[in-house]
Amino acid sequence: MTTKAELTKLYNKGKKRKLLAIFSVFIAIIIVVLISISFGAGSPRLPEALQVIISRTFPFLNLDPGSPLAQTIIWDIRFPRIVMALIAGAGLAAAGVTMQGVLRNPLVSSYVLGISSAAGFGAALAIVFGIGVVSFVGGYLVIGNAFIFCLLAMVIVYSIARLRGMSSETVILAGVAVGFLFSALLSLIQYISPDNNAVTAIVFWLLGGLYTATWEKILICLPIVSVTMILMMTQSWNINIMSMGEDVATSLGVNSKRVLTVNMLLETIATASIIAFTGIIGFVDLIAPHIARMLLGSDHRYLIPCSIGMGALMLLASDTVARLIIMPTELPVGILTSLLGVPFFIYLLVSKRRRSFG
Amino acid sequence: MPPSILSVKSYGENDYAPNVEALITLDPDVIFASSMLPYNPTAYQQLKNAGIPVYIIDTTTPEPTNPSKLTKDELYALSPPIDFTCGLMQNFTKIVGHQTEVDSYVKWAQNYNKIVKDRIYALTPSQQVKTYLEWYGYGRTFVTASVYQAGGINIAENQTVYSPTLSTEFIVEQNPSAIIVLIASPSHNINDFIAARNDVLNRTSLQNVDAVKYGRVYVCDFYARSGVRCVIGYLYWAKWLQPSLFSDIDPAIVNQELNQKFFGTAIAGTFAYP
Repeated sequence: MTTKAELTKLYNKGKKRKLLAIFSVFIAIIIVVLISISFGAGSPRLPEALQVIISRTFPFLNLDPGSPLAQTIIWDIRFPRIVMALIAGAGLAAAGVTMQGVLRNPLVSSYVLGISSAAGFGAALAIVFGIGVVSFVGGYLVIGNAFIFCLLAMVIVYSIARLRGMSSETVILAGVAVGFLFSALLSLIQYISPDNNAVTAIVFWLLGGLYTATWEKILICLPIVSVTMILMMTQSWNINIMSMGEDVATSLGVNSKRVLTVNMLLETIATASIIAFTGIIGFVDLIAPHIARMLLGSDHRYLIPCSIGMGALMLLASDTVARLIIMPTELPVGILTSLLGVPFFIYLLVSKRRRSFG
Repeated sequence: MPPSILSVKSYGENDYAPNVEALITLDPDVIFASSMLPYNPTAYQQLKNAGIPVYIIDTTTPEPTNPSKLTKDELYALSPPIDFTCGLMQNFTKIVGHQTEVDSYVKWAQNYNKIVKDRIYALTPSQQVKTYLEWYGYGRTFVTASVYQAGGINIAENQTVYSPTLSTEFIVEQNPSAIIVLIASPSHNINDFIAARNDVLNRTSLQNVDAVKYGRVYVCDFYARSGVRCVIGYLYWAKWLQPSLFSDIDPAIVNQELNQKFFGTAIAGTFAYP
């Protein structure tokens, strides 16, 4: 018979192990950031990079900011790209892990819920026809359209699901249907486009990438993603309870429909605000939560922060390799997220160190 | 495009996806198709089975795989788009005739070809202008001899990938003196060109690049780089990269000359900017 003291000891041991895993992921992020900031097609390396970053971040120190070339390469190109990779990876993974948890389905991602297809359709409308949903976006026509259509997709999914009682199955099926609808509309636009080059531009947008990162975009994206991630973390208890099933959740006083609605909204806002700026970056929101889950189990109090770290690490590492592998030519980051993430994922899957879900 | 061509009805999405049924019904004497058609063997075979001669032509100007390893003479021996287009047209005449018209065009085009070649060939390497060629934005470029033939040095010359996406860091460090942006504007609307130019001029990361600092960012339509109008693109590129050598030539006027001489009409629209 296990005593309470033994159970507490066991719990604390597990807690320490989980915190250590999360800590390790964030240490790995720091290492990859240092590697990423040190190398690129431009000549500045770590010392110059740190000099630029410190002098520009803390201007009151009056440090030498380095050469104009180093400032341009580090401050305008390399560093914002790294920051955007961290934000995008973290936000996508957070969205993935919460929706997988709330919907109790390991295959849920922005693709499955129709968000990516809707973003692609919105971007294509802007690229081919110059049509924007809102006129004030101006130079942000493609970004604005992608964002609005993400939200529109989720409104449609939500409306359909509400008609059938907001069950997780209905949400997923509605998401798949909406995804196919927007995919079809996207294909239609590509087919009827009078301009083959616009079609190519759509393909490039759909491939996604972090090369367009600027501080201006980060200043828009960062607050939205940060707030949504914090709100997602506050939902961790509810998601833990939801993962036991809607009946159990209801019996424990959790309003499962409200939790589902809140998380759908948070997930959509986070994902939309990322892919509107980066194009569609797939796989991270699907795999990063699984890797985190294999490392430390299904307790969302730890799983969400670990997934956030894992997503950031995965996307930054992928983008760094994509930048460096045949520099100065760059590979699309989506190729690398799969090439690097899949072997690691399969390794964890085969080694079966933990149950992957539930 | 002249109005007579714009009014021609289209049968199919492109060469890869022709409307075979409609084409067979039209019963043409011959079909000219680009090299995309054989990638759709079903359609290709159906057209051939219908007894229609199908003539496949590669409309893409051949490009060297690694121009940086070629000598100056080898580079200039390569066919620029004008030579390639003239060759294509001569081949067409064997099937559709119109030899006189084609001879007239070839003579006219080769005159400009020679003017550009003679002036550019005399340049020393230090006089060549470091150039970044962009299409579809953010580092996407391609390796082409056309930059050399217009008096420039392509910063992507050492890339082994034909159509690489260059790191912005690399572009900044290379500090090109000129940037040529290729766009496709089916309507040839000047606003498309202005927007493409402003997109490059306003990129934060390129603000210290000489081409942006000194406003040497130029936009060229794909339609001015190939086909009958390739002479115009060639002249614009040469004038942009080596303005002092071509102060006596105004490509816009040459474009009007082309329209009147070979299409018999004035054609509105922008093909290059500024």
